[in-house]
Amino acid sequence: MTGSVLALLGVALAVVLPGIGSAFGVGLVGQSAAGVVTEDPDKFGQTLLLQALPGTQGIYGLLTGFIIMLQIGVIGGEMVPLTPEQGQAILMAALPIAIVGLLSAIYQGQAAAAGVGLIAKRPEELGKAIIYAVMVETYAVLALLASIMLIFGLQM
Amino acid sequence: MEIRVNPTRMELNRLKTRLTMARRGHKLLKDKRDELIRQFVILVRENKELREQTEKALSGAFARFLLARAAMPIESLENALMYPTRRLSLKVTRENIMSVYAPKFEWEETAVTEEGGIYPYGFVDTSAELDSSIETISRVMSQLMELAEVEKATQLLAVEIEKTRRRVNALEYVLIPQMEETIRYITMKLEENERGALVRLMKIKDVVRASR
Amino acid sequence: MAVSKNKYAYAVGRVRVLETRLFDYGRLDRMLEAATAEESLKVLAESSYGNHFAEATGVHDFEIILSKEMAYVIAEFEKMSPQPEMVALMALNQDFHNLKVLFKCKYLGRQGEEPLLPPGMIPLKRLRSGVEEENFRDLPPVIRRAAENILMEFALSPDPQLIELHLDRALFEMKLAVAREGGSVFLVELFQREIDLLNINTFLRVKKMGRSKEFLQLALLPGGLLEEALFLNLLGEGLEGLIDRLANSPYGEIAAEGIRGWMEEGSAIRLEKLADDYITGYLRQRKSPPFGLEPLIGYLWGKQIEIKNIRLILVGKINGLPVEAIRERLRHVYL
Repeated sequence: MTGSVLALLGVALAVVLPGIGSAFGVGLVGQSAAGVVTEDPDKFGQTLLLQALPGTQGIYGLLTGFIIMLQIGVIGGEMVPLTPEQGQAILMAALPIAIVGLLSAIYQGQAAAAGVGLIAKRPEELGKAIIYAVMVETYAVLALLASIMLIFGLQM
Repeated sequence: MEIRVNPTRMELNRLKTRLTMARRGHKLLKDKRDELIRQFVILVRENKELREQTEKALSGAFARFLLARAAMPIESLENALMYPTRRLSLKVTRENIMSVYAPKFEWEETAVTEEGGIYPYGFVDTSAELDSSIETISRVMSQLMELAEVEKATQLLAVEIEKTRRRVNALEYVLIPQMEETIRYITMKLEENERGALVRLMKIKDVVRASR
Repeated sequence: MAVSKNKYAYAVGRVRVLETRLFDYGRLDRMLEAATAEESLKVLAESSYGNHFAEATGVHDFEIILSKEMAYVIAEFEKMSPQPEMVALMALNQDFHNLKVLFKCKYLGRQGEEPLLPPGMIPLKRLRSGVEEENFRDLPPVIRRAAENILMEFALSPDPQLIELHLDRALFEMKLAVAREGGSVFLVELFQREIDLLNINTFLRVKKMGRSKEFLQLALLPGGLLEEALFLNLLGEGLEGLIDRLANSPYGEIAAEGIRGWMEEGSAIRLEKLADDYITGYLRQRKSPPFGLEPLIGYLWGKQIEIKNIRLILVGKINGLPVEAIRERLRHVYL
């Protein structure tokens, strides 16, 4: 297997896994929100805000994939030939956001869904509901950071 | 007062017997009335006591029943009580108190089963407050029957007392004075007749003596 | 079969809003302090119960309003729950109530005007034809067994209590069985607690009635956390013994307070209220997970308690009971 294939596998994982996680998370919050809005249509705006939160992991994944693609020259120029070692290194660099993105999106979805329950009862506490869900985001951001630093740190 | 009788000796004799009879009847009726009143007072006292007891027990039972009803859906309550566990057979006979026929109840409570309790319901859907009200009501049942008996007897006695009193009064204030009046009238009439006859005899004697 | 908890997201979302609309103490107080029953009813009309007022013509029809509301809530929950049979369990007692009524009507030869409740899990038609034809093949096995026992025993000794006791046992047997089948540990534990609390109450009542151990054995519901033997052994002893034995169980406190109330006042008001409050508290502690059956069951219980409270107030108001007598019987609200 050539290095390029491994690097592209890294791109795929970075985009796909957080994407799945985000879709699941957003879907979950959406269900909760639909339940709340069934009984109380005024809560649409607030619940939408919470629903968007687990979507960020997908964006982080896409961002990571994008950077890798830029680095290996898939976009904007010649594809750099990579040795298998280089390819493996890029694949490894993609893993933090791929794995953490997947799981954190699911957990964030659950936290946000709980937040939807919270604002159903106390609409004035929207801020706190968001903070609880955003706490999960920290770890996705850290993973994103790790992935990006790894990618830029690698010498092509 | 108009008296329409033949002022004869026969009539007087008849009246005199009637008067003695009326006097005796008056005395008897008066005795009967007094005895009736004595019985009545006893019964009324018994009645009052029984009624107070039953009413107290029943009002307590009803209050608890109401609270039990408030603690469960009406359908549960109806289901709980729709099938009775007790049958009551009642036999009514008559008892003679001073020729008043008061009803006498004989009742027998039978359970639908030998070992079953008085409660026809289970424990899940019912409140324990229902137990105590059912228990009281079933205990009060025999008291209620007794009360019905005594109350009816009292009522009948009251009617009888009223009747007797009216008879005593009629004898005392109407019939006896009337008869006495008539007797006096007849006696007077008879005496007058006697005197008239005497005068007539004396007159005749004078006439006879003069014509001799 | 267990269902993924995440499927409950929608239902729980709805329940969170519905919970906020349960009667709080303030609203119950307004009903309680109203001058007349009509005024109390007006408070009810302003709430979700208002939808059912068209069917009621006066104060005395409030039972119709309450049962319509409960039937409506159960139906809505069955629609939105991923496991409708779990929700229907909360109305299973209504089927058993209907079964009792049908049996008694059959034995009394009574027709028309049966005090039936809206059906829960089993269509009324199936219950009716089962009882009429004495053929219970179409009904769940638990019911079939109980019904066949009733047919047999009633022929020997026509005691209506037998019908009740057999069906009460079957009700909880079935509740536990369906909960286990649906893989809900939560529901199993809830029903076990319900059974225990009912058994404590039953024990006191049977003891007061002076019935035998055999009768108590039949009256106690099987499947609770407390062993039946515990009650059977204590039947001949003082109630202090029961308080001691329960001290280390989850019901230590309420048993002590409730049984003392029973001993002092000879009434189970305290115990019955504390038992309901215990379940309310138990469910309230478990309602926070954002996914799962717990908030749904909690809400349904809360609604049942709310209806109990409303009934207490209205019956009290209609009959002029003192406000304090009503208040001491009011259950804690699930909020």
